[in-house]
Amino acid sequence: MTRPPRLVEAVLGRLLPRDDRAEILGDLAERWADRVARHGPGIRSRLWYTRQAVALLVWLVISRVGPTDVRTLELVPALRRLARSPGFTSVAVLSLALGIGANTTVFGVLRVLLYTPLEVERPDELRMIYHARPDGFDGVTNYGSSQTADPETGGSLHSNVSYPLYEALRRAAGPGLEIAGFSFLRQVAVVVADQPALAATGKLASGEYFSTLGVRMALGRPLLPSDDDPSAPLVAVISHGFWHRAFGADPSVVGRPMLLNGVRAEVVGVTAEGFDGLSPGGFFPRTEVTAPLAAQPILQPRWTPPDGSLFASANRYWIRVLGRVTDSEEAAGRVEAMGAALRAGFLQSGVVTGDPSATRVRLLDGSRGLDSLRSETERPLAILTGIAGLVLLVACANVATLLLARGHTRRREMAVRKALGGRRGQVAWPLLLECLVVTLAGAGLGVALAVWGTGFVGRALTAGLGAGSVAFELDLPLLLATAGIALAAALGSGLLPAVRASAVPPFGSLGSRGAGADGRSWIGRGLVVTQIAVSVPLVVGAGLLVRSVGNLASVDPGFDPDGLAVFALDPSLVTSERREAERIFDQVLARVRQTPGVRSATLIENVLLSGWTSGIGIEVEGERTNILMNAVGPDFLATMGIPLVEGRELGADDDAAAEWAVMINRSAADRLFGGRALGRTFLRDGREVRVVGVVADTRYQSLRSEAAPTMFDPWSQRTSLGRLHVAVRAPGVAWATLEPRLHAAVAEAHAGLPVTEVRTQVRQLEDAMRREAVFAELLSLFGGFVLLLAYVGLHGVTSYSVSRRMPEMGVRLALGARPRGLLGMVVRQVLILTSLGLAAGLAVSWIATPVLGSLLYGLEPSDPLTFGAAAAAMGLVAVIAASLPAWRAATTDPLRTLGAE
Amino acid sequence: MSGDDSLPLLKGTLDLLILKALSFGELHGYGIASWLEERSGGSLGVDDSALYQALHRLEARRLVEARWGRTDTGRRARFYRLTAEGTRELVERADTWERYAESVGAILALSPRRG
Repeated sequence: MTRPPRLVEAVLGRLLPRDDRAEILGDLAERWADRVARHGPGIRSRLWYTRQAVALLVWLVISRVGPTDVRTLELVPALRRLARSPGFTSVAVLSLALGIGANTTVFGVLRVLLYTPLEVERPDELRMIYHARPDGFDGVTNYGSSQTADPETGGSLHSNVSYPLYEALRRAAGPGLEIAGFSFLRQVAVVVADQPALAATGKLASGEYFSTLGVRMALGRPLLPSDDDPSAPLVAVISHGFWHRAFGADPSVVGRPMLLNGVRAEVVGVTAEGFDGLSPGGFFPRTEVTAPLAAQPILQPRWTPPDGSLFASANRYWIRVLGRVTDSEEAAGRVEAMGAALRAGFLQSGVVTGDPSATRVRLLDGSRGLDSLRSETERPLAILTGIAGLVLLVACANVATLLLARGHTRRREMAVRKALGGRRGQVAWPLLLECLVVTLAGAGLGVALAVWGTGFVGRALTAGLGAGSVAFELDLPLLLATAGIALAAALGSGLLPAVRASAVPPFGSLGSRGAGADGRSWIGRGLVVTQIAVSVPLVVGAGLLVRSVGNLASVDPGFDPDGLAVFALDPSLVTSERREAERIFDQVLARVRQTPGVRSATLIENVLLSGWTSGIGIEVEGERTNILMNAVGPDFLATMGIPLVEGRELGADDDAAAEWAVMINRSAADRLFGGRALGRTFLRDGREVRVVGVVADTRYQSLRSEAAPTMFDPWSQRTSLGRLHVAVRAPGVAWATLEPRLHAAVAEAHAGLPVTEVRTQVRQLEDAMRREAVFAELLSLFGGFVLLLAYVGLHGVTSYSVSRRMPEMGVRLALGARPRGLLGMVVRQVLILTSLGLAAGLAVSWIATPVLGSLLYGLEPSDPLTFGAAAAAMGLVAVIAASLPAWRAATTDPLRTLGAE
Repeated sequence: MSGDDSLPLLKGTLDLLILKALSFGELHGYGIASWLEERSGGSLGVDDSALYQALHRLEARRLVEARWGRTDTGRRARFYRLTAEGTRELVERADTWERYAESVGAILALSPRRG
């Protein structure tokens, strides 16, 4: 006779209780014999045996750790018990809600910002194609190129190639590795019907772009190779979001015309919802309009070389390459061929004169497109994950403490259950069930919190990165993650108390005062110390960040941001004539100055504190050095509120015809000219420039970066005019009133020119601090919350200790002892616990706070003042929490406590 | 012994069926299950775990009692038999069941009224 499957039988045997083992195994073996006789000993019978074993084990678990009545799970009594103690229930549910909610939020945000692949077919086949350049590579102008580190060698990889090189690469590629070329357009002016001009972000793309990417179309067709013909009419594909924004989701949008930078283009397709180009935001903007590469002269005219076509130019690198690997073996060969094509191309165009063999083509993962959001948000997200974990730990420790006390209060009931023959798991079941119910309620509330929280945190983390389209939604993986977190929380909080509670001796030996005091209390004490220890880092973190935000807010930017508004203007979108662009700027300035409420207006290249700076190399008395620069218009100092230190301000006469004059800031004057800068000259691009004014220092790139030597040059003296910002001082005018007036002023000056990035300087300042502010808010919320929980936990522990000692104290009081001495003992014990927790917590904080490094400002991660304040806060909470119950006990009539016995 | 095409057992009936099976004499766990399957012509399949659960329940309510014995193949097994209380319970429950089945059957047997 064949034996039942050995492994399964052995496992089952070990897990079955001794009493049932022989019976059940024996019966099952007999059944196995029957089944083998009928169906044979093959795999089906073995599976059947395994199925039976699993079912038996499940029943076993439920009967041992579970309700005596499986059908109702004793749920209703548990709910009634919870309803009768609203204090416990509400604190437990809220704590778990916050702990679980915080973790669900972090998981949701993490998932979207770090892990969501592109909405395309088989994104794991996509590659971004970079190349390594050999030494001696020179003489090339890059347009919007990026560099990244080679994951294998650590060397630099570059993204861009010239058009001739792209063609060569395309010939080298083929089935197995299909490639396409594209280029980012930072801004395109779009006019639809007779609506005001919009600014859209976009791409230029080769005909194979959409097919290589595998994007689905919602309407119409994608770009095709036939659109690459320069003589073909201009067409464009728009994104789903742009279709809503500019065309109001018109279902007949295919074939409709629009003006792109003043040139008529036809909409041929709309991409499916959820696809926003290769980057959802961050450094690379999301794509709203995609036009063929051939449209470059219209859409990005600044790149066109003065002597001909960008497509023929061998040393202007403006095209990025992506590819799709459909056959990895073939692809390897193609990569080699592409490398060879690059080498040949480099040599031929003369950009490499030496040995080109170090040229390599590398395929980098493209499933998430160009991942710039990820790198910007990785660190803050890691910090948030840690914070969320800590909050959950505190919540679990608190609930565990409460459950422990609850279990002890119900020890009589437990003892009765045990005496009636309940197994240990069955005795603990009521408590465990209450824990599960509370956790479930907490998880539900936590999910609700997370729905709001993911939106808030996600938007805050990506503020200023232009990722408005990132969606944070509640779906199955998120709910599963929540369930997992909730389960861990339930087990973490409930297991220990349940085990402890079930360890009661049977009813008979139960004294009226309760047994097992000592064994039980060190767990309770340990929990309290743990809870406090884990809470302290959160409080410290909150303190550090709140102070940092305060420090940042009190940084003097060097100019007056109140009443200052800015917006961006790019005449090159509507004209390629230099004179016309200048005229547009002049007219806009004139109109804006006439706008009611506006006191003065000027032009500025980079808005202060926006993170954008420009720099240039200059030569001062023979020494080459770098200096930051910012092109400015007339009335700059008055508009920005920057004091003039010496000399004069740049005015309307400082145009291209005059001698080149600049203002420099005090740092530049001190560092480059030894303090005597007025009237001195230096070389810029070989041309002599004179310092006519010195202005006070301001912050430029950010509030954090100290003032560096900066030059303010007249905007009209720049050789190429692109996008500039208009700064407007309108003190006392409400933004809601001013904003439409500014739009109107620009429209009057030039109707087809879009106004973008309109905001107040104050808003810009807030955005510059947003990340720190969000962290400060979150940590303050959590810090306050854990302090409250600490109060609840300590209060509970003290009350419990006092009530346990009541009888003994009653006797002593009746015998004449002083209440203060007895209660002092209890309070002292609680304070000792707190001090232990505090010490551990401060030590953990000391180690952990450097993690916040980049978010802090103006103070060290180990700032003693903050640490001291956090310790004082926790100490105060502990003293109050411990004193109140003790004080109440001290004012109780001793006879009453005796009578309770 | 859960056959793939067996009828699901309505709640509460397993206890009754076990009591009935034991009214014919002492049986061990597997014996009860195979008795039920045979007598129902294969259409009633009983899950192992449900069976032992029911047996534990009946034992706890003192409707059956158990002792260790040897099967006809000589292996040790736990044999169950009805107590006096169990016999009374069986009579009462069987009567209730039959009345129930009769009423339901009578209603289901009605043909639809025409007109």
